[in-house]
Amino acid sequence: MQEMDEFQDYVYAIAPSPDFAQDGICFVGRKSGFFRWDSRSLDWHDAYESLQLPDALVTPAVALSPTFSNDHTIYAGTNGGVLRSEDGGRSWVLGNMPKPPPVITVLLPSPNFEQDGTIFAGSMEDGVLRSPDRGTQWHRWNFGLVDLHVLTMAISPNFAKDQTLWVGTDTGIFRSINGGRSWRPLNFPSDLAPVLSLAVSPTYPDDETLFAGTEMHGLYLSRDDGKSWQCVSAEMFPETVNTILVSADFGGALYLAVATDSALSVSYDAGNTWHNLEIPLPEDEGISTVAAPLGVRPGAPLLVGITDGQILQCSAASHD
Amino acid sequence: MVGRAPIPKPDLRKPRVVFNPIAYRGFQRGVNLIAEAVRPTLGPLPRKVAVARSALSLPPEMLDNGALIARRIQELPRRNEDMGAMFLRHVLWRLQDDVGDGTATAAVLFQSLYNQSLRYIVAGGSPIALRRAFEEAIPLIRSELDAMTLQVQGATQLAQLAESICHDHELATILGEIHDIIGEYGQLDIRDGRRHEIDREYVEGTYWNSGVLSPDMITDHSTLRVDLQDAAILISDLAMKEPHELVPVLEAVRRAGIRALMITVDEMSPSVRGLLLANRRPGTLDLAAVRTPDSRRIEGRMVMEDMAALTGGRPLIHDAGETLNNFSLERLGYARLIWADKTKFGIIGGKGDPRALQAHVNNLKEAFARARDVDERKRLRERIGRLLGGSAVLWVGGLGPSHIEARKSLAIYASDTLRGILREGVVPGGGTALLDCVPRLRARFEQASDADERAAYRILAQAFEAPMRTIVTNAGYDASEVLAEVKLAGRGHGFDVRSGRVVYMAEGGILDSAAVQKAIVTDVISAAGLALTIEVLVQRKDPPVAHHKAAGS
Repeated sequence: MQEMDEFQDYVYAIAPSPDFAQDGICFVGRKSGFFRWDSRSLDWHDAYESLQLPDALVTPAVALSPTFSNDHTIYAGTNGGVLRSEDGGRSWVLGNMPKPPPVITVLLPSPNFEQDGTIFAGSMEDGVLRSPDRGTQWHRWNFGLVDLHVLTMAISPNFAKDQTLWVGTDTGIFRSINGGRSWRPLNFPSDLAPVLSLAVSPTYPDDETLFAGTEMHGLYLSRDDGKSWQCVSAEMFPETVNTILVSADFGGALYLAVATDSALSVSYDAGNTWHNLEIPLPEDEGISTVAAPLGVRPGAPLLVGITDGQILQCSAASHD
Repeated sequence: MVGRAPIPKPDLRKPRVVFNPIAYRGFQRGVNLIAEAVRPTLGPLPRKVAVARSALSLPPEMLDNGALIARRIQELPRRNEDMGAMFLRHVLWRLQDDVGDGTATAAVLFQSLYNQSLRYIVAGGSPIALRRAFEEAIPLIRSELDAMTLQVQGATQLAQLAESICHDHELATILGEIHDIIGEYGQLDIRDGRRHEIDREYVEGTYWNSGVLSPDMITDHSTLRVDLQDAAILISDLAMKEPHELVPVLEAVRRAGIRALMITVDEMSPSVRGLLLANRRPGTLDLAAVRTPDSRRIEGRMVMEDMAALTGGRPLIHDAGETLNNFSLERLGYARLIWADKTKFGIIGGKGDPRALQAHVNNLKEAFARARDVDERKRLRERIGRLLGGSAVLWVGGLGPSHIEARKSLAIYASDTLRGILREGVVPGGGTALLDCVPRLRARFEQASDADERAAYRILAQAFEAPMRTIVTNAGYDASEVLAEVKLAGRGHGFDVRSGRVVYMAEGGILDSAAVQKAIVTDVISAAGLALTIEVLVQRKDPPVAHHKAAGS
């Protein structure tokens, strides 16, 4: 376990490079701005340097193009819109946003991004924005989205075919089955909301499995495409679940990593049994987000964002 | 030159009371006349019905819409027949109003039920018992239709269904896309297009047809509208006549640091407007006012309720005795953007409590499900659509004004049906859904011991074959041969009259609206049962011609 940074801050989002195993790079959205972090040299580099900002630009959302290795495209969601860089963070362009400027909370490129160039942004008061042209033009698409406070988003691995994505909001979960152009509430009990985190099984088209992490009521699982939900390990996750990461092994077994404010746990049997990972959290600080650059699997690294701006690096426990 | 055959004129001066069996026979002739006029239009290969126009110099209307054909038949010369015809016409027109489709199927089904039942009654059966058995069969049939209902989703499926309704590929494709986005409740304005093509536009948020009170309030002269960002809204239906009434409001708003305010009012005097304009400080305090939509009607209260749910405001209501003296900052609603032009104003990103908004939408949906009145349902649907946050405009182009009008009518008709499909799903089309109810009806026939009940289920089973028989016959095939083949193929199968083959209808994309089929079953069986219990026809001295013409035209 290594401590990477020391200044007081807040880590909102971590986006590891698709080539993390080789380059060890990830991009981090923080209260103090947007940074390129080298997990090997432990160097932090201000990715907004070229903008010469007078003040720190809070960056709650980060996304890399799924083909980042080739196109070097990065998206940074800020208070005021989405910035786009096509040269790995050296220069930035502000996407053309509808007025008034939104506060971006989450960014989510289509798994089919190389072909469809579609990227979604969730916002604090403006619902979902959709860009069909790699982040140049953005349009609000909120038909049926009664709650415009988007806290988290998830997208189907089979998006190219099923055009399905979900948003978690203050009052529940909404689903779109037409590429984010209209929304319907999912049958998620509204008294369990707000929903802070969502995850979709990598084998969703077959197993129809979804996970939802709530602010006050723990982790929930649906195995029938959101028609019904059941609580997962109430004793492990009694309160806030702020990150859920899901991977599948070759046999389709689900590997999960779930972060609460104070603990990070992994499961290698779709949530039936859990192992707590040792995280040396600074006093009075908590976990804000987690990324799994190589997926959730035994021995693979996990990057843990802390509420004071640090990133801690650890590895997922083995099966035993 | 041979003119038209003279039409026997009813002697309207004499009141008449007609008893059975004469009443039955006359009534039946009227029913059959309407049904036979509509029958050729059933199915995807309909035949046309030519209807003479009131001006003899004009060519006849060529119609294939059952409801419209029935509507054109406004009076029959023989008064007993006229009553039968108008009875069925009313059933068909009400069905059209309720669900927008299914009138030809309904006519054929009604005719079969009525004629078979009449034969049974004349032979000694009890009309009351028959009616009771019919009524009892309705839930059974509806549950059978529920069991075969499939949900529809996606623009492609919706477009396919729209095309089967309107037979216009371009229109159907766009309607499929629109309803995939706006769903069953969304607001859709259908307007005349400027070009030959059909086009659509999606409007973010919600809007009402009510514009700024003064052109001077428009600040963006390129778009000719005023945009208030992160604005507060004072919702009211008050008449603001004296400037001093508004001063405390503006003071409170300024003190609270609010940078934009929209006011909705029933009326604003020129001096109050002047005060509002004089107090505008671009970027510091933007101000505008619009007339509250429908403020002088009961609908105005509903609009204010909806605006309040969207924005979290609490309206100031004139009828509740409220004035601007009741204003406090807590009465204000808020939205990300409030815009207005000369004729409309809209709200994007209302900041009301989403839970309260969802509860309000759910209440309206429940009211919609309960409502029977067509206008009431339309009003509720529009309100729900507005609250769900978006609307679409369909621009219908064509080769000329009459072509555009015809396409617009088709668009309305197809759109209404698609809404029903989205709400209640689809069942196998081409008469298959009703045919697939027959085994259940036959099973009940076998179980029943009472003669009248047995007769009712036998009659229903036979009548439920009639729509498919008619579709097949209209397309030029032998109905008996085809029906035998379909029954052999099993449940879910039907006859695709375009390919001339028996197919599994769901796979072939031949589907009907479940809402329409359920409405047909409910309305027609109830109406047929009622018609069977008619014992006496009472004819007025002066039939209210104007009334029934007005109702249908």
